[in-house]
Amino acid sequence: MNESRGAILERIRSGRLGAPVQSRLDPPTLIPTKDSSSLRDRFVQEAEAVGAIVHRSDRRDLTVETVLRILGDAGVKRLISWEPNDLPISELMKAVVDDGVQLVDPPTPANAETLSREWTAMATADAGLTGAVGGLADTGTIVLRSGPGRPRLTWLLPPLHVVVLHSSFVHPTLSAFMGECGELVRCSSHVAFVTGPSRTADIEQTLTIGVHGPKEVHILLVDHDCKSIEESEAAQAATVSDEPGDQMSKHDLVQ
Amino acid sequence: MNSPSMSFQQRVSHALADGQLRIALDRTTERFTSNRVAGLASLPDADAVRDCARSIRLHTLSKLDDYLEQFEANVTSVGGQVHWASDAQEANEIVLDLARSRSVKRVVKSKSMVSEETELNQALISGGLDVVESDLGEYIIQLAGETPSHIIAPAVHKTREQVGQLLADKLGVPMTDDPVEMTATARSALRDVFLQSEMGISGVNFGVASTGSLAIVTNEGNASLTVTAPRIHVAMMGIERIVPTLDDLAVMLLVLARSATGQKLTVYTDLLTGPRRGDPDGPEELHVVLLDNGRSRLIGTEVSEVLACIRCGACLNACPVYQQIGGHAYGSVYSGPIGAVLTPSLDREGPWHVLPEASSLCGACREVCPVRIDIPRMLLALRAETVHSGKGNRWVRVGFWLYRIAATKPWLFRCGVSVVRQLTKMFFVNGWLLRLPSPLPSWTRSREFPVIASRTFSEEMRDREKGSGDE
Ligand code: SF4
Repeated sequence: MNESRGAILERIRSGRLGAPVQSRLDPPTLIPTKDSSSLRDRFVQEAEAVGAIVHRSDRRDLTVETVLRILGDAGVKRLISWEPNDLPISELMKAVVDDGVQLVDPPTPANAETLSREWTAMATADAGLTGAVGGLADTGTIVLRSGPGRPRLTWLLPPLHVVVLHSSFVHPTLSAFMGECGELVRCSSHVAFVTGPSRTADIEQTLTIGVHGPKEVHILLVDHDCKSIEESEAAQAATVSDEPGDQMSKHDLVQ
Repeated sequence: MNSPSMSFQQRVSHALADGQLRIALDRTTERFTSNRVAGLASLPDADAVRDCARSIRLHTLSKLDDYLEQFEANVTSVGGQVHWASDAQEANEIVLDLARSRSVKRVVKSKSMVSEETELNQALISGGLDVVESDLGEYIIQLAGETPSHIIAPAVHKTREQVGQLLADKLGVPMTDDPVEMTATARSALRDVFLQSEMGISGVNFGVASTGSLAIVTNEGNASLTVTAPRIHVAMMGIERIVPTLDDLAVMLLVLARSATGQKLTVYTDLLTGPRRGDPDGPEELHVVLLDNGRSRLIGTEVSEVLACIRCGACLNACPVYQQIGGHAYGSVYSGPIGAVLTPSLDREGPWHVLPEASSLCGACREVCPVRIDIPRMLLALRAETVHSGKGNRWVRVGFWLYRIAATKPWLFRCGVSVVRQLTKMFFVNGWLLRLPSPLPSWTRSREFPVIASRTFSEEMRDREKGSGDE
């Protein structure tokens, strides 16, 4: 293996011998707008265009009520949810349980055999409940990050995905998000940019929804005070830095 | 790479005679092309974005060794492992060793052209492993025992009726020609596969040097599940698929989705940075296999630009040759215009020198390419190389030799023309010759030879000059 490493690098070096390093052009600015209300409108428009369903809310109780209605309408009996502290509205999970929905336990890191059983149990959930760390206005994308209390299968396995996004987290473009939130990528093992429900066109280019992931994505775009956002981000930062893997700061990375 | 058993000409005739294939190709390549046009139109400044994307790719290639080392260091610092493979066999052995040493029995895969290139599936299956493809198109292909015919739509050559019949035969479900029903069948069949496999193998769209992240995109979400549920994630990546930073990645993802399917962003765009870190799910181990297989040798050559390709598939759909013969006729893993350059470049000993001939040099591929790769220029370079190395057609060489002699002696050229004119007149049908005599019939196998005009251009000119002199 090491032999190949040396040989490959050597071949590249001798190939580029004497050739100058080519320069990179700056990307053009695509959406210059910083006006937040038009950003939100654009987000809603694009998300709906790719088949997500957006609900706007400016009151906490209305947000909770809307989630309960979505779950009720879809006849959800079993739900996977992120930990209350990882959701933008911490009382959401309790409200759902009080409403009679059964919670499926998130997987615990265990040995492989029990794990696959747990996941099979997770696969029976009718819906997943998460909170986004970002939204992208020009593509209608939601950004999700994994972490303790935030299982990834929540947004992948169930046929219905309900995600809460605070409107102040909406960025104009993917480039803008990377510029401001690159650190999130460095410190999360999985960051997912999800644009609408799962789809395929593998059979004669005929669009079909819900092939492996969710068939329905409901986004709650909320404007109200989400105190717990800062709280939960802070709580998360605390848990994250307790783990050896995350001690690494960007300065440890080779630049 | 797998060497085909039939000759290129035979494969082409086969493809042209296949009515079902024609229907499937007509229905899909056109839709792809119009989607792409709409996708790029939605960018405010598509040309500037493409120029930028191209500059990022060429910059990366111009110091690829540095970026690869940086990428490796950062993958390692977040807990992943990097394996370097000089060729296909070494790559397959690395994966097989990983599987054996961790007692893996079941493997789930998401689409990876690199693993098609190394024929990884065959290697794993003969190593005693269960391997299932999870991309719907690949799954269909695997059930049919075939190979993909398009970079991003592997089952593009099959009609819905054929797919319905296949699922009915292989899975025992009722026959249907409704894609929605077929998709639901595949969803439930693949659920258990995701959750019970110990190893997930994916391709990589881009590796980010500055963070050690892997960017993997799918519309179905099958790659997301492949890299989440199994305990071990193995990512197969060509050494050229590096971008320097997250900012560069953002630009590349923008043009990739638009060029491939016309979407603004692929539905699931996943950025994976190391294995799980105290997360409740996600892989415990992450392995990146970096495959060379002829790529490093291309740096600094006339075809080095081919390494800038981001495998969007746009040039396939735009190509008038691909539109007629489909992917399988090329006989290689990579088809279409990009395949015609990449295949003979990567595998110099293989029987691929005819592929660069399968082009009219119309330039449609260069026109649509999101990173503006000059495919026609490289096709010409490869054709020239074939001629210089003596691998070209003997009769073509003799023909050009004769032509050179005649063209440099006007009297001889005139004699030649009148002899050939007399000959063609004797055999023409409606102004065309359907079959040239030996040794030239292969020229007329796929086209007609025009009868030489009764008056040549120079005869016409001579007469005109005479006429004007008389005035
Ligand atoms: S050559 Fe260009 S158009 Fe063709 S697949 Fe590669 S990036 Fe796409």
